[in-house]
Amino acid sequence: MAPTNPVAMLIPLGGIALILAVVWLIGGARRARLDRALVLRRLDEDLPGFAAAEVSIDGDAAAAIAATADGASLALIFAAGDKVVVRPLVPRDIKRVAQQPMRDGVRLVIETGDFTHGRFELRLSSAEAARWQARLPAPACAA
Amino acid sequence: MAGAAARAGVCRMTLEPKLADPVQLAIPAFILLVLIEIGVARLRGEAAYEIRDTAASLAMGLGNLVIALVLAAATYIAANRVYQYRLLDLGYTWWSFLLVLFAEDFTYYWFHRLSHRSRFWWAAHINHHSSQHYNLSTALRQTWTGGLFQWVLWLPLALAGFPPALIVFQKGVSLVYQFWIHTETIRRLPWWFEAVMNTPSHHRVHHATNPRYLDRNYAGVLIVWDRLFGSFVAEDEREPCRYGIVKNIGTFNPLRIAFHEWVAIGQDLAQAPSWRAQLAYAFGLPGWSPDGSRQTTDAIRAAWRARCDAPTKR
Repeated sequence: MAPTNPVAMLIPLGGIALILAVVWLIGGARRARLDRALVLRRLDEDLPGFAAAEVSIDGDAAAAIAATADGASLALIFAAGDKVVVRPLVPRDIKRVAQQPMRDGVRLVIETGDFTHGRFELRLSSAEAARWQARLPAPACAA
Repeated sequence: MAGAAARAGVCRMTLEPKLADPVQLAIPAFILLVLIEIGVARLRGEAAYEIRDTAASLAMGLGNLVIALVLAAATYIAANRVYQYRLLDLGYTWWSFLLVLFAEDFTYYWFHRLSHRSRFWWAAHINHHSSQHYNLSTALRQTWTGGLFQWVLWLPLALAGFPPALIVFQKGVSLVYQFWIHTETIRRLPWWFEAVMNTPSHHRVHHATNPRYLDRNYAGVLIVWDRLFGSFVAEDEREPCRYGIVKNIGTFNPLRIAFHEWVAIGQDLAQAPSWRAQLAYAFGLPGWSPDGSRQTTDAIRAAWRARCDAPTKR
């Protein structure tokens, strides 16, 4: 199954370098930019039944936070390369919520126990950040 | 019946690399085909490749190659051990090459089905599905942990009498075949080919997370197994495939890609309320939870069907 000759490993290594160079040259280093329509579509696909009533998209269009009308369900949406990942924000998963002041607003930081993406940052206005922090589950915030 | 010495001789013989390694031979073709697919996608204006996703897939492929090198001796020894007790002497005849194609592909079908229906096996396989892209580099996003135990399912072939080297050869052929079907560049092939063989269209369905497509089309080379065992779903052009996994990952770190489901199993086992729950967390359907707070693919499909059947509000 595997090459027994170490020189044979140079072929896959060279191939990987060549492929990545070509992908980079054709503009493969790109990131998804979130807008409201994309966020709502992905919520509908990934969390059927999650009827988002409120959505805030961060200043870099790289992440968003959404809530249902009754505020009982929250979700995070973030760019991963040129694709988008959706995470329901479950109270028991939240480890820390903090606000970090920035020149043009506030960075809302949410840390969860997610092994593949545990730290979320959203650049929001001070008012938006405060509003979302207040909506995040109280016990988790206290922890 | 052959004596012990003769059997030892056969055992040594099967350890020799009598047959070419199809994967090793195919690597230059893999590279070339990826470059061609990038070019075709570029000409069509499609964004098929993203650099971090591609790098992660290729790193997983390279890691798999290295791990296979390390584990090859152990799996060969196990297969040869079983081969000593073989029921038949199938050898290296033209018909044994033909027979092993069907036998290996049948084994692959059930291995693949198990890899989607039992979380322990899914934990090793999930990384192959973890990209939201579907292109030839996705084919190379291979497991790092499956090599430790997946080979056990192929031991019955050695017991039946297929020489281990022939089994390994056919596994390589299957892997090479499955490379080219990881593409959106090819839409549909002639009906007679789609009826018998696994194709890009059939395998797109397998990688899709749309409820209607979830956990379908497990085939390796021949799609007939899915048709036979009720797991076949045809691609519907009206419903484009959405690729990835039900809970998509947010990382391009190969280590996290390789181990994230194992970590999740460990976390669940630590919090499980009983040993029954621990067993179900480890070996039950992916998505199982004692309180039903998560969804298995069956539950996702049932909820989707219920939504489809519900009368439309006016």
